[in-house]
Amino acid sequence: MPDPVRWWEMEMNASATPGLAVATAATGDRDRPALGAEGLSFSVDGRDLLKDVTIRFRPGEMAGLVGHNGSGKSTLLKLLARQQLPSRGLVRYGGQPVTALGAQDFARRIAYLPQDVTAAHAMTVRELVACGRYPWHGALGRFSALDRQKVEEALALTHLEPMADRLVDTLSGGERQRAWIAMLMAQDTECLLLDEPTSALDIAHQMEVLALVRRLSREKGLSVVVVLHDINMAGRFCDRLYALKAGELIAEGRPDEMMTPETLRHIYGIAMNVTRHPGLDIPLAYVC
Amino acid sequence: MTKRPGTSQAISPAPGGIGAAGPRATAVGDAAAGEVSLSGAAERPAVTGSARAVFPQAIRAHAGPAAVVAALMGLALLLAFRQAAPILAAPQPAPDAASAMAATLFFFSTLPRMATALLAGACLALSGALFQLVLRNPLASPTTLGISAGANLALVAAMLFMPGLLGFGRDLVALTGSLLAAGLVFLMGARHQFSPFSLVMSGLVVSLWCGALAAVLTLLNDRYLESLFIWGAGSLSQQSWTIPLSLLPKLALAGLLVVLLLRPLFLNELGEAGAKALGLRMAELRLAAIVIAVALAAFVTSAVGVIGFIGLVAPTIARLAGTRRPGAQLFWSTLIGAGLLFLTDTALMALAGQVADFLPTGAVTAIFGSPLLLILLPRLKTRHRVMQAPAAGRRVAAVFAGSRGGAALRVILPVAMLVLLLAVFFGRSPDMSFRLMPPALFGDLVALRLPRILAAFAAGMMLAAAGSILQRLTGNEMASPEVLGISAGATLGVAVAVFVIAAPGLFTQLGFSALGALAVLAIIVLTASRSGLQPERVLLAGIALGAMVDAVVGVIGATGDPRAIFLLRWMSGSTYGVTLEGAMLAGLAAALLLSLTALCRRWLDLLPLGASAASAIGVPLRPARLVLMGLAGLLSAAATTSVGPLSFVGLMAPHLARQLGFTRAAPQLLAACLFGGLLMVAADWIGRSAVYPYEIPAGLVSALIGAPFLIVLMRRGR
Repeated sequence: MPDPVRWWEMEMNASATPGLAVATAATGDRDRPALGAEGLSFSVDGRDLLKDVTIRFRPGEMAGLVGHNGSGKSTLLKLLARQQLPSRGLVRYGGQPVTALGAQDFARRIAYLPQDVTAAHAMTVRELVACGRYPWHGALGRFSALDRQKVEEALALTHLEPMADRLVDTLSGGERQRAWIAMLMAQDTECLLLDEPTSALDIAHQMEVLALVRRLSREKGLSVVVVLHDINMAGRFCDRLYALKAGELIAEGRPDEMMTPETLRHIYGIAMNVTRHPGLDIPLAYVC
Repeated sequence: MTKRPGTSQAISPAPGGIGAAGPRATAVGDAAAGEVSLSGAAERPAVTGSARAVFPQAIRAHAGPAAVVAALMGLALLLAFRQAAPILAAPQPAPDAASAMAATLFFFSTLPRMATALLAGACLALSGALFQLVLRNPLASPTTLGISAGANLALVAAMLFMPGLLGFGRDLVALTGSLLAAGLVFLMGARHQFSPFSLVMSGLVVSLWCGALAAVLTLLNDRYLESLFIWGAGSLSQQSWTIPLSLLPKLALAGLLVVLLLRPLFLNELGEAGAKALGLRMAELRLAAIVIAVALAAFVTSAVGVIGFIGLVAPTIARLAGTRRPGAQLFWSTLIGAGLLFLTDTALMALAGQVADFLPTGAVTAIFGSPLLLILLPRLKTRHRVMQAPAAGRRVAAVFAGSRGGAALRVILPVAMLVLLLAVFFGRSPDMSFRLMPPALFGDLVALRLPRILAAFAAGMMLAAAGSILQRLTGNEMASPEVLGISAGATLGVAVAVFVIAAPGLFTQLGFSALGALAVLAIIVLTASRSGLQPERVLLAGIALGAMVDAVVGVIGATGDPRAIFLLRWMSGSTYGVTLEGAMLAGLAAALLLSLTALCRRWLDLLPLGASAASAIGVPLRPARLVLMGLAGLLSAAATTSVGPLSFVGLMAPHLARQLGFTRAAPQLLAACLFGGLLMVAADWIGRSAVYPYEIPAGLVSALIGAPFLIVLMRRGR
């Protein structure tokens, strides 16, 4: 990976000069826009929640943000999703600062799943999913055949057709999470940002939701950034992990690179060790 | 976790899959009906009868509200027809002068009145529904957010000081007033991220304050009193078609704008983060919707005065009748509101006959509306918010660091002594100059001043204690006896006393006001006891009852009975007539009740942790809440007899104490009591020396000065 501060320049050059574009196309991800942050800081009342984070997520990959409580994971995700404005620094998408995009333009490229999805209880699942088309048709535009088609696709992708006409209120936690992810699918973006999508779910539903996200990422070639508490879940489903500690990015790499006793101790500040999953040959972390 | 072997097929838009969605899309209300495909039929066997299967569902969604509207309108028309029948049956042209007069009255007074009722009801309900949707707050309405009261105050002020302004632009005056009120409420609500509960609390405070100021203005201008009262309480009586014809285009325009907002409002249901992530510009949506809603309410207030509760009740009925989508809620709320006010007004005309013109419909809707709110209470979802640690207190408390306010107390106590001494010995002399009391007049003046100062101090202390208790009990910093309707209950008690006994003595007044306060408290406790006296429910019940009592008092005022003026003076909270006996009584009550309150300080410390945490430590929740509420009720009743129901001391004093860093119950109570007493004494002093030789009632002074001060404090606390 090139010098992290300069990656967007390369990307912009790549799209501008054909020669470079050919040269980088071999790596497979250069032709798609990448999401990233440049010197991103966020402070409230003089307290730094995020300090000068520069990061580039690889297009088409599922990236996991991990770290201790209050490490700035969710803050970073909120800044990436433009839910909050950074104190300093920029969020870039495809090399461009996202501040250049209008609200709806942004929502056509990047979808965000908030941590709290208790709202929308008086909608049917299909109505909820159809909300995802707003960035495309706007406040007054017609709800076109394409919009309808995308909603049905999203319902099919998430296997929600049988409960499409049920009220969101009547769904279980896992089903509700799936309905919201279906809404993000209907939004038809290239990039998903998920803030702890599994926090209120039991272990079976955690598996269900994360497997769904991973499958969608693979099938549609989506870039996904997901905040996860559970390091083992993150290691199992993510292509790459990014660790935050006290508002700073301290490590990144493939799960088997990251899941070592030294790195884990550095991230969480507690002695941890790693073993192998007996059946799947993936790393499993545990506290010593 | 792929359940299908070939999931890639699911991505490509299979025609069957899309077609299958057709009928179900129609089911949720989309206009275009899709074709029924084979795969759809496989999934849903009954799909051949899709028209049959789909149609009832679409109808069912609208059947409930339609039935409600039909019932309201039918009943209203029936009543209206009974009045209209003799006139319509009379031969045309009229045979004699009397029937010609009746016909003229019918066509130019009764019919326009009905039209006004329909239109005003529709406007208010649409406004309320819009507020509820955009704020995602089932309690929002022009009444509860103080919008109508703001418009009312602006109109009263304009009428008294710049009558020319009204001819120039009556709507504009009302609109300015309500926008200012709305701005204030949202400014305060922003502190709590627009939590439904806090917003309504702030709205109520603004509403009460506007009411208090409007009352002072009318009090100072007696000759306008009666007609202002009738209009201010919302009278629909009409002399021509002007008002309904001017309301109609406004409602139509607002309706059109609302249609443009429908889709963003639907998205708004996803919650702040979700809607924002979809590219919805929340700030713009909120601004647009709130401006439309405020304008609708302001136009109605400008046309017919304050009509309470239609804006709150109509959307609630629409929701309970089964409307779900924002569009349907707006539509049906508007119709239900129109029907509701129409029915109320025709019923009023049928029952009251000739007096109807002087019985303000607005007050009547409040009398009917608030019990309805009480009934609906258990169906409203509220969430308990644990009180936040005082962020602002840190800054000030740093000055008295480590002492938990002990050092602050050492400063406050001498200041309190000084203020009390000044209040007794310093004042205005007949030549208008401020001077210390000459020793020669010592005996006379002390005998005049001491009772009222003692009464004011005792009342202030009791209100502050009641406010502290209620705020800790409910975890809401906007709770106070005024807001809870306890003071209004005391007022109602005195109103009854005034009308039953010609000249009630002090003890009778005290007794009746205590009875009124305790009656309100008892109803509140009874209606809220099913939820284990959950503070939110208690407060909401209090709000409803308070509004009802206010409406009753408003109706009494509108009758123009001379006793109403006595009541109004009493409500404004004058310490003018306090005798030494009354002052001693107030002091005694304060001493007794405050020492009882001190015994409960442990409970007060633990209750703000939240109900489950407090009961887990072993606080007996129900008895504790019952005792504390009883204390708060008695404290407010005793205080109300000497300083009136509207002083805001019960809100201000605990707030001041918290801002200074008194966080634990006992020091906070002590500091709040001192502040409360001092505030009341200062208000009394200002009241008797500001416009000397005239007097402004102390309760009004403290309300008028206190509420803006409170707002500033709360802003700084951010």
